[in-house]
Amino acid sequence: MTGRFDEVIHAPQRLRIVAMLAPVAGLEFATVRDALEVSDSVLSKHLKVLEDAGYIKVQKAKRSGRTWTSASLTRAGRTAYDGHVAALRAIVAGDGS
Amino acid sequence: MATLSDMENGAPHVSPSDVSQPDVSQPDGGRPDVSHPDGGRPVVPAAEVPMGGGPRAGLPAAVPPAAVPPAAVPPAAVPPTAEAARAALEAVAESKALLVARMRRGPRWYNPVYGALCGLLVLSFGLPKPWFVGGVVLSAIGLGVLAGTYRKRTGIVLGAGNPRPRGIYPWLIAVLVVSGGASYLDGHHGFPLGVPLVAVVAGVACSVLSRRYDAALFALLESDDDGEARP
Repeated sequence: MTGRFDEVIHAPQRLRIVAMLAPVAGLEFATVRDALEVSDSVLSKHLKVLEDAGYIKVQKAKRSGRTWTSASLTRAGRTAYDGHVAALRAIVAGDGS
Repeated sequence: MATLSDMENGAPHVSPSDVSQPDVSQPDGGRPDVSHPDGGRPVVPAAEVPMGGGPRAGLPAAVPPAAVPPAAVPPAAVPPTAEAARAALEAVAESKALLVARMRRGPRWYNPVYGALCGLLVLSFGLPKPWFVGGVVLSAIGLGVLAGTYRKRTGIVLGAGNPRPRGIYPWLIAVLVVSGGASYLDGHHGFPLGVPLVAVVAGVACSVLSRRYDAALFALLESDDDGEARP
């Protein structure tokens, strides 16, 4: 995998969001919020940035009178994440920039 | 007449008739620049000059578009230091560990129930038409409820988009296709007792594969590898 540093993903909270979304089909909003220990508004902002970059897809569904929000990684997001992690590894190994 | 700064920006001078309102975005409220050699007539900044709108009466010949500076270009990404990159990779590993902890919260009966529903699906292929439809609908509803329960317990969405580990899927599909075909042949071509037998075997196989899927996914997430390897 060719490493490609991605500034959108590299922000600490966004990197953790994408790392959690990468191995699954999707995650509930509350699950990500609790894992990151951030407020709803902070998470919403990060999701918006990732969504605007085309890296995630946010879906809302009404069930039992409540709105359930979930997020999933897009193909572009998965590619960007894999490339970013490869770039980080190359930097740690000392052979990349 | 174009000002020097306009010439540099490639933007033509705009006559007063084109600018009827003062530029309120300016700190001085858009007052005329009396120090200007042409009498201090207000000048529209280059960024505000409409692009591609065609020539305007009284203006100099069209300035080549290439001379116009491009819109704001985002700054180039600056790669982090080795230490920062290591910290970022540690954050990735922590996030994956959190995800595994979430997955382990899934109901213990998930895999047996999943196997039973797959067995029901296979069984329905060997049954006469009304029962076949009922069995398929029931197993589909059951799988939907099961995925919903898992999602409620763990916060993880199950679905066809789940990308890893893919190595299990071909086996699961093979089990369902072969056992479904065997069930159909048994039920419709003279060996009805074989139908429940095939369904039980398929159900057990699907349950085992589902368990192996979980184990492979946990191993993948807990390893240092991050997605290129597929178990």
